[in-house]
Amino acid sequence: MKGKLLYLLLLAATVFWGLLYYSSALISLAVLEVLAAAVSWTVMRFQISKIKVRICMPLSVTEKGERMEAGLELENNSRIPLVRAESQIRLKNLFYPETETIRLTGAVDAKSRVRILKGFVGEHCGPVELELGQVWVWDFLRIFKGRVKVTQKERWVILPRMYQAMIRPDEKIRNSPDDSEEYDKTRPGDDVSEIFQLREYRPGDRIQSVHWKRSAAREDLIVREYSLPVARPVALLLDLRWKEGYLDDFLEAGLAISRGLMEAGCPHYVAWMDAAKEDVSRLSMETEEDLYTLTEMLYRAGWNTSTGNLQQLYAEKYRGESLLCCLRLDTDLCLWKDQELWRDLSENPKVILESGELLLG
Amino acid sequence: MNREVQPVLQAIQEIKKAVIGKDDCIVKIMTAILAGGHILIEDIPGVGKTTMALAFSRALGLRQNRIQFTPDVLPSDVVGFSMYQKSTGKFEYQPGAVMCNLLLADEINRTSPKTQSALLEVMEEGKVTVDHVTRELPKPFVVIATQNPVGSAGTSMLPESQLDRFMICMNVGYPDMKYELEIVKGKIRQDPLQEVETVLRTDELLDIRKQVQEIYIHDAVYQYMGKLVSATRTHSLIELGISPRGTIALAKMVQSLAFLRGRTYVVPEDVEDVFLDVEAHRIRMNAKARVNQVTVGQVLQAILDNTAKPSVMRK
Repeated sequence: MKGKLLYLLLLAATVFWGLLYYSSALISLAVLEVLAAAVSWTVMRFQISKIKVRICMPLSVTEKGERMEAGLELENNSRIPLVRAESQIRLKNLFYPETETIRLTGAVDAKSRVRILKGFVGEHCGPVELELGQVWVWDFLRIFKGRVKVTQKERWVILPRMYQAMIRPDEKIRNSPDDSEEYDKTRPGDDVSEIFQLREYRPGDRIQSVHWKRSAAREDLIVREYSLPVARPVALLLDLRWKEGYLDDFLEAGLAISRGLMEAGCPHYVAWMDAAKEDVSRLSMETEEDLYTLTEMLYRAGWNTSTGNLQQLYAEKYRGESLLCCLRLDTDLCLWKDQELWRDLSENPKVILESGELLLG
Repeated sequence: MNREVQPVLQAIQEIKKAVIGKDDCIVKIMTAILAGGHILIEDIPGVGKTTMALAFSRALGLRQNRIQFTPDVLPSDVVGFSMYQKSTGKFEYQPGAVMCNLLLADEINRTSPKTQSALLEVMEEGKVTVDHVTRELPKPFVVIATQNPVGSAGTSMLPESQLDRFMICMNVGYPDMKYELEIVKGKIRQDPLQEVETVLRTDELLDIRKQVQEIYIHDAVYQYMGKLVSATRTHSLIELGISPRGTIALAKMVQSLAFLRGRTYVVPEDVEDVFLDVEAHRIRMNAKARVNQVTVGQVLQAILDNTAKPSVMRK
């Protein structure tokens, strides 16, 4: 706007003084000023057709508190350098009703590409949507600006900080019956109804486990390993009911409890109310990858406003299964065990979970 | 421009007669060969891997062998074995597939881990020991191995520790349609491999390799490579970073690339250009990255972007 005003003032002054003194030089100068502006505008429109803009985000995943970079990538396919481009990117954490807008400006040489990046620190975990809004391009006289039509969205995932709760399941839970139709993906067992893998013979393997047909085709003896059925006597219910404020502690505590159960050798389910599906969803937790898969699924599920009792809903949906222990963590950071308050984590969940050994039984 | 590079550039032009539309791949493979390394190609069947290997062997005057790996290929097929000869009454060594200059090891993931290990050991040591007798492999010795990721159930994909032994790992990919039609037309008329002429002899190639080793790397460029490698060992999305073997491979590749570009010294841009090809297959991403589908390429590119390049004066 400032550039336009200055230009108009200059043009007006040139015309005024030219007419006042009947100066052909000044009138010619005024004509040149108009022509220059026209050429500049035309070049700007040409450049708009040759520009490509997109959101640039080298890495789309960070942990809470880690720095990440995001911004614009401008590609100028014309032979004329672009003196100035401006853009807005809106960041919205889909977990919380807040947005942030950042403004970026830059210039690009002819036939080249440039990245304009800005550093951010993800202060709260959750999925963040980056939306590329308006992109404005200025002409080389900085009088006119034209809009480049582009709409693009990218997703930045801020993961919660991972720590581990010290949980000790009792003998009853550790030695729960192995009657299950699910099998451990990482260890063999003795259930002959399902084969875990075929491998080469090692001294000590039983002769009955030799796979004679495969062995005949190879130089070595090949043996069968059977699968290990895995019972899941524990369920951890994460009550994702909406509450004001940031719920990072809740997510981190839930993941820490699940991780603690895994490290204690206690296979379990984590379940939650999925607002989008209006149904209870669950995930079987066995490996570290499952923790990150769980995070992603919780992000997609989002907070809900249901009033139903999550434990009852879970029991109704999976009524055929028998659980030895049902834990429920709510957004007030109260950890319930089988409907009774087990631990109040609201003071400092990380300290309580990491230091206090929780006996599960 | 370094005059010695002319024969190599000529060899590349010869190879392009048989391999159309894959100029980048040809240059990468040539760079790796000059650096003294081995190449792993991960790709689907029918994209020209064998043709490329044959073209290289013709252009560089290399004696070539091909071994198609299947589950019943034995280590002795690869390294050779001793066979009793009745006429002489002695055991005579029967050379295996590795006794050549360029070995095309097709579908290495289809064979047993034992046979894979036999080949990889030979690649590392450059010699074969059968019945307590050690025999040197012919020089130069280059392996172009291929893995087919499609239909890999029941196969033994090479783990990261074994992938580390390959200088580069690359994909050939489908050619652009215009090149594919050129290839089809070419194949119908005559075998384009017949047009490839030998430009270099093996002793000349060995001589060029020695020259590549003389290419100068400034301390600042060494520091730059060190920073890149360090960043992979501390990155929050990487479980297994680049090993010292990977750093050595990077140094050799940048020397080779600088030589191909006609220089007697390395510049930081050489490091940028080969970093992903040399290091991507040596890295294992952690669970956080795998679940969120963050690729090795994205992480390495981010490391490149965030590591300050040294300013080196150019001649």
